[in-house]
Amino acid sequence: MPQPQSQILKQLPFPMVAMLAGSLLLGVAYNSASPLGVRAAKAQESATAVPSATSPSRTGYGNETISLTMESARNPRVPGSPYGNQVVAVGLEPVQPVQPMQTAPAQLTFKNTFPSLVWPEVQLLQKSGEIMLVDARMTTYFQAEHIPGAVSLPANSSETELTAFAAKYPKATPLIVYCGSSTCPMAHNLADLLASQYGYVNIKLMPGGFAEYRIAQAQAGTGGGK
Amino acid sequence: MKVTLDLNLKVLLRWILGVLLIWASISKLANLQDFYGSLLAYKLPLPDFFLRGTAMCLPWLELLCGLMLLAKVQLRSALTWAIILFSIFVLATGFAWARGLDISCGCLDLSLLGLGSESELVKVMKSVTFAFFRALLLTVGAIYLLRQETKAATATVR
Repeated sequence: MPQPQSQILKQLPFPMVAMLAGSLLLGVAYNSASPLGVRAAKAQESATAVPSATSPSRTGYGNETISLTMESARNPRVPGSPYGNQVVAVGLEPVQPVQPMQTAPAQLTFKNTFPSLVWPEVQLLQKSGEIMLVDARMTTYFQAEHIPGAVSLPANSSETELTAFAAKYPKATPLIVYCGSSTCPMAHNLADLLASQYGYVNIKLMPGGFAEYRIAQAQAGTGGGK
Repeated sequence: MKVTLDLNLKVLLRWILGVLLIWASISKLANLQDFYGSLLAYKLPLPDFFLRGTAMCLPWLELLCGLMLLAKVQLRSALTWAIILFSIFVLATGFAWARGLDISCGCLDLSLLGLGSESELVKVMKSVTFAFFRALLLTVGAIYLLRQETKAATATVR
């Protein structure tokens, strides 16, 4: 018995809907589980760019207790520490540290070396309001999501953009530069550029990048960035 | 036992479509945030939740389509989805091209072939213009295959 084309086409919807449903399920499951997955909705901004000393402390790592003593004229800088005399007391239960990511591939060569920090250290410094977090990824990625409080300065920025950044932030500003993850060299490229051509003297890197931040947020159960 | 290799145009086309879809899906799944960033770079007049949903699910749909094409399972459904996906891609790249956006298409990860991102060949292959014509060609190929498959199915029943 002949089977007309229209009848064949009528058989299409069910498998097609099944494929779409399968993709939806896989997509949602995978993206929820993966720290580098895309989230269904933008998370709310959870920190301000430069937190004030009076802003409430937000702890993202269990029941840790963080006590910060802010640097001031009456409270002089500890020798050797560019960030003042912070006192960090970690509370009752052992805090699971976020493992630093592997460093950038060995074949990459950079002009300078910079101290590296992991996200929990960066978070503390950011809360103290004494550092500037710089996102070296492309602007579209920054717009999609970024660490709250970070400023965007893509590694491939034009000279005008870099000059504008240099004019806005003094050379002594402590900068912490990050990019996507440990495999992305853009943070180091940007740090090299800022140090060698724009005279920034206090640059550190967060080699784990946005991925490390995302993993920390997932462990703390606080969702993603902005 | 005699094994004959029936490497005709239809089989070749099905394999090309399947492999390209799998390649494209793996490229996206390897870095979903990059893919989402690429979607944003197209500056399509679509709401953010739709783009996020697309970034989450489209690579999996591509992977399913690719695998089904290679395995010759539910071929007509897979081809119909492939046509829909390629058509959307034609529209998106055409839209970006018409507005002169200088962006990477965000479709295939050429580093999987060992090509450096700085080479001229890679720049051309990643350009929106190239992506537009490639998607157009793939759409035509998928439509041709679907027509052939539908004809064959009709003939088999007869």
